[in-house]
Amino acid sequence: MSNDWYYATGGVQQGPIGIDELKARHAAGQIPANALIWREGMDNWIPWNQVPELAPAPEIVAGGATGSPAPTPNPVGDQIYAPPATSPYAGTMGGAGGPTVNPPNYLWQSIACTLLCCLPFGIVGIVYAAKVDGLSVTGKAAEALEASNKAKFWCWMSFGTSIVGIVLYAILMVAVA
Amino acid sequence: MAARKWLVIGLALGAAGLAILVRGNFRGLPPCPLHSTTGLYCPGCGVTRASRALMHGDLGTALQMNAVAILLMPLMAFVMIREIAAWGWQRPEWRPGTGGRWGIRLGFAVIIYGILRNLPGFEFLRPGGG
Repeated sequence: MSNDWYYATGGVQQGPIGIDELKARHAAGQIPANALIWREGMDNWIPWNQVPELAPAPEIVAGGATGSPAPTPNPVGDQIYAPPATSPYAGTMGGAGGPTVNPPNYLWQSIACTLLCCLPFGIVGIVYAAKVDGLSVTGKAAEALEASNKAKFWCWMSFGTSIVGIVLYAILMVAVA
Repeated sequence: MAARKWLVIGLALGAAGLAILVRGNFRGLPPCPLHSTTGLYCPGCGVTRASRALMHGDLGTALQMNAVAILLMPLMAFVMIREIAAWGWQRPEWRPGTGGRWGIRLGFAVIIYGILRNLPGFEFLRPGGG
């Protein structure tokens, strides 16, 4: 089993670890049932009890020919996993391995883009950047990560568009002159 | 380390650009395309003129062109240097903090500044005092 599972408690991300280790930590009480879980291939962080692979196995009752068909757990083996473990916070400076802290909020980058790029995109960045820390503090790791990524996107949008615009404008000015 | 290599390349390009500006027969930049097409004053309007005034030691003119950008410039330089150093030396603990509640207030203050500059009665916030 590849080590490609992450979990987040109280806004702090842990992982990557294997699914057996994940279950062991849950059994040891280190991962609460409301913890958010993510692995490579998931669109978003989801609560522990909604992860198909982590659903409690059906209890096998000895001699229990009750006739009710046992629910088939979602088999783990038939899914193609991506190559292991790029961290969902790969954009941060945290480096590989070890617990990664809250996603960066890109606030000062957004302010710099707003002041220096003459475009409204930086303002969108500020609005998303302002949300990140609050979401991290309240334990909404998935939403915090999403806001962080959006702030980052609009910063680069602002920066890239203005650089392209300046270059095109300079070429135009030279051509006209 | 790749990051350090890019840091050196970036610094070299910056130094070359500065040398061209200082040594070359440079007449100045064309006007902002956003302002000349829409007539709007964005939060960054006047930063180029303010920087030019600052390089000539004229703080008064710099503040008239874009007071918010000039006042924020030391803070921006501080966080930017820390961010670049953290990246270049791969030392995440050098990164600037998130700014907390006051950082968020500052961000929205910049947005409000950009809106007010375009409203009648706030012409004094425009570059050169309107």
